[in-house]
Amino acid sequence: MKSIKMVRRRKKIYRIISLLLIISISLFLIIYALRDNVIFFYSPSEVREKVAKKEIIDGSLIRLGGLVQENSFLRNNKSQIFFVITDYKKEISVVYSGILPDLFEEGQGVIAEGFLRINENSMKFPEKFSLKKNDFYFEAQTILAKHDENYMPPEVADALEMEMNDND
Amino acid sequence: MKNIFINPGQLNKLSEFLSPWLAIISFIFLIFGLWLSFFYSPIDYQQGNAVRILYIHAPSAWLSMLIYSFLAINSFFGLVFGHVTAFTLARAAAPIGLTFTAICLVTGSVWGKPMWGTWWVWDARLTSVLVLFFFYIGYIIFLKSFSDFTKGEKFSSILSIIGIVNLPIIKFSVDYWNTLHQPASISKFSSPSIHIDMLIPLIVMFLSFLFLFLYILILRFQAELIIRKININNMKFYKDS
Repeated sequence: MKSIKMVRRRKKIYRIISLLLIISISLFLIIYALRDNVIFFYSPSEVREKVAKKEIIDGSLIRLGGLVQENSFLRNNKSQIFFVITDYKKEISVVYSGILPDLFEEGQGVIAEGFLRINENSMKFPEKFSLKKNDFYFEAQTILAKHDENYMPPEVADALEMEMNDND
Repeated sequence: MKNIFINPGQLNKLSEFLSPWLAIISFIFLIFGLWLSFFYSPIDYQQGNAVRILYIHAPSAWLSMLIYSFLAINSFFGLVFGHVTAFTLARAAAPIGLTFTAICLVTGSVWGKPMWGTWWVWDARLTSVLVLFFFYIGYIIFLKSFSDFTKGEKFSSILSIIGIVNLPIIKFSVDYWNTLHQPASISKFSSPSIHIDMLIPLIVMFLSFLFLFLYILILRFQAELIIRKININNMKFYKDS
C-alpha cells in the first residue's frame, strides 16, 4: 500500500524534473537564437563569409580573432602596427596604433576589436602585405591576446621547439 | 548510518569530532601548496610569474561549481524529503560558494589585465561565472527575505535547482563558442596540457581549498543548527503571545 507521503514525494520529484526540463529547453532555444551574439569573435573565414552575405559591411564594428601570421608583424615610423590574422584558411590584414598586451607574439592567438574597412586607395599598407584595391582590411581599436591552454616551463618549451626543428 | 542524513544531531556530533582534523589537513596542504606554488613551480614560457595566479584561480573556480552542485543536491533532498539536515547544509554552503566565486572572478581579472590586456570582457565563460555569482546572491537573499524561514528555504531551494542548468554552460562554454578564456587544460580527453611541475601545486592547492571548504561547512552547519533552534523558539513565542 502506498502512503500519502510517498505519493506526495513522487509528485514533488516529477514537478522538479519537469521544471528543470522546461528551463533547460527554453534556455537552449534562447542560446540557439542568440548563437551569433554568444560567440566572442569571428574568425577570418567567418568574416569573409559574412561579407559575402552582406551581414558585415564596410565600417561594421566587430571582433576578429585568430593567430598572428608568422613574419607578418611590421611597425612603421608613425608607430602604426601592421600584421595579418589568419586561421590557416583565410587571412585579413590588420592595422593598429596603440599598446600591445604582453602575450602578443607571432604565431600566438589574438583578438582585435575594431572596424572592417574596404581599401579604397586611402590606406597605404606596407608593400609586403599585397593588399588589392577594394579588398578589405581591419582597423583595430583594441588588441587582446588570447592565451592557449598549454602551461609549461621555458626549458620544456625550448626543448619542444628543438624537437620540432629536428623533425623538419 | 542512514540516519545520519536525516538526524541533524548525529551529523552535529560527527562534525564536532571531524572539525579539528579537517582544519589540520587543510592547513598542512595550504602551507605545502603555497611553498610549491611560490618556490617549486617553474615560471611559464609565456606568462612568466603570472602563472602563479592559476594556483588560486583554478581551485576556487572548481570549488565554486562543486559547491553549487552540493547546494542544489541538498536543496533537492530538502524539498522532496523535507530533511532538516539537507536544508541546513545548503544554507551553510551558500556563503562559502559565493566567496570562492568572488575569489575566482577577482583573481581572473587580475590575471587578465597583464595577459589579455583587459580586466573584463563579456565572453561566454566570464559571463556565465558572473551569473553563477548572482545565483549564489539570489539564494542567500531569498533565504533571508521571509519572516517564516521555512518558506524562504523552499523558495531559495527552487531557485538553486533552476541555477543548476548554468553549470554545464560554464563547463562547456569554452568548447562550444569562441571565447577569450582559454579551454580546459586538465579535463581534456587527451593528456593534460599542463606540465607536471605546475600540475602538482595546482592539485595540492585544490585539496587544501576543498578541506578548507569542508571545515568551514561543518562550522557553519553547527551555527546554522543553533540559529534554527532560536528561530523555531521565536516563532513559537510569537504564536503563543
